[in-house]
Amino acid sequence: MTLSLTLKSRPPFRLDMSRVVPHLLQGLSARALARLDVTTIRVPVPLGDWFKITGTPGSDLVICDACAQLDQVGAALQDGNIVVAGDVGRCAGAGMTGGHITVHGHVGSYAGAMMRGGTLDIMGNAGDHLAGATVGAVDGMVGGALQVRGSAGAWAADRMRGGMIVINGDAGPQAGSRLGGGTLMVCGKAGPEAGVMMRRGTLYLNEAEPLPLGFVDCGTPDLVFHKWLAHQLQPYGRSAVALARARLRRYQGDMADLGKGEIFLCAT
Amino acid sequence: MSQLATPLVRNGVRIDASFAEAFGMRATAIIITAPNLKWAEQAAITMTGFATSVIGCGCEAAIDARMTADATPDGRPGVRVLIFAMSTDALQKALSDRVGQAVLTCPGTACYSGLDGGEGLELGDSLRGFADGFQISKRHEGRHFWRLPVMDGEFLCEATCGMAREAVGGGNLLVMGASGATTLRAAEAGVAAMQAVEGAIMPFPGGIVRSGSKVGSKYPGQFASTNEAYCPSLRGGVASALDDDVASVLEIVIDGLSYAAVAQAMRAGLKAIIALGPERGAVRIGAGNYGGKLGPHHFHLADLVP
Repeated sequence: MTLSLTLKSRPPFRLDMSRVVPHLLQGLSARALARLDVTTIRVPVPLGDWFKITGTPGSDLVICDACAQLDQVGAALQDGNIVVAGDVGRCAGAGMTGGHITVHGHVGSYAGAMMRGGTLDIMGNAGDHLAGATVGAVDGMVGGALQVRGSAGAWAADRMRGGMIVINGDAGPQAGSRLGGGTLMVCGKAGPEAGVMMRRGTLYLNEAEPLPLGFVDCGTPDLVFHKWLAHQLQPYGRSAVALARARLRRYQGDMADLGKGEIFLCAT
Repeated sequence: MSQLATPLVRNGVRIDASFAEAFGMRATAIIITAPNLKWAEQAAITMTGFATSVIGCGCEAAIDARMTADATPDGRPGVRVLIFAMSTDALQKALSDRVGQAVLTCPGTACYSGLDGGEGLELGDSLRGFADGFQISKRHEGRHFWRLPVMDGEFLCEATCGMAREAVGGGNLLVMGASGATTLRAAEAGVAAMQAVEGAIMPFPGGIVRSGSKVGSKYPGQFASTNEAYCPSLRGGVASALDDDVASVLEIVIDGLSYAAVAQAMRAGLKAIIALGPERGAVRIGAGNYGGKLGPHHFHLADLVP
């Protein structure tokens, strides 16, 4: 069963879509759906005022004609599928523990923040703090898989502790900052200070601005792990596979912190 | 151990009205990959050496299948190895010892679970300490791996592997021929056919045992001793189970991840041995048992012959 929501027009304020996830919609009547509160302002904003609602709530949710005013799309998703046509705002897929989200557009900041499981596939670009930690959270993403087909903003994977992120395009400054685990792959170019204050975890960078001073050169070891990763990355596109198969120079750091992280940078 | 009243005959080969008596075992499977098949096999052969019988080796192990590069987790050629033991603890010890000494040490290898589900056994988890704090943990899609720095790069090893609680050990065929050469030819043909069955191994040298044993001995401390009833050279002096036209006996022992795997392997072996006929191969095929009172799994030859 599929529920379809089509945005009637761009709202002048932001909408909180965190209640509009398949596991919270199960069994709701059409009337209850239309009255579902998605407000972020002082007065109630019913879902039905802004969306044309068709279909029946089930495991699949489709949001059409979406725009960047829609925050927390798929936040805390447990299972099921969400497909979005258009852009979305902040915290898309934040805290999700399972299921699949596909956004055929761009996403705002904190997409995939504190993700614990499931997959988030972003066809366009992502804003700052991709898979990061929102205010008050200790860790960023701790599990699941996230792919950005375009580029990501600053602080991608900040405080990430587990899971896999592939950015097929570029990443802004401080990608992988304060990383505590997991793997971040940037198939394009990473901005300045990639991996700064990294403790553990792995960055794969095709190209990068000069790395922080706390990283030490470990040469170009031939590691089976790259081959294994390349095999796992087939669904993430040729650029990801090519990066895992490239001749990679290993840097260990950040020695200004725990120093058990690693950056694999394409060797020139 | 009289085997026959009116034996079945297929293609001139007599089939005993007997059954193989097998036991429940614990088992696991691992996948070993390497830069090429030669080194994957080298690791597997080293690891499964001296693993013919739980009686003296603590476990039984052998290569189950060769794997092409597109079928392994890292896109390199590999082999699947099965390991059997009588208890979970014994299996864990054999797995840790053998992977630690024979796979970790072998150039270019990586090691992955070859069996999903069931109770987990420690694989990389039991070896990570070798890295002395330099080990790196990686999790991906519900699986956990350890990267251990070694002198040729890294040893990549999955943290745990599954265990089959319903494994079966001790399926067998007794291949009896008119000469040593024809008996060996028949046993080789049987083993070759059985090796194509997934989930079953023949742990003895080349899959064949020439020293089939009985339980106990006249000597204290000797748990197993030669099965004189099947020794051609003793035929006149003991209660022999051999006919006049049998000059040599070889046994094929089969362990499988399930009852069905053992049955399928025995069926394939019987078919291949029977196809050779009595002149080129075996004149008679039997099976070893203990009267049906010890092992819960009985594989009746009459149910398995083609």
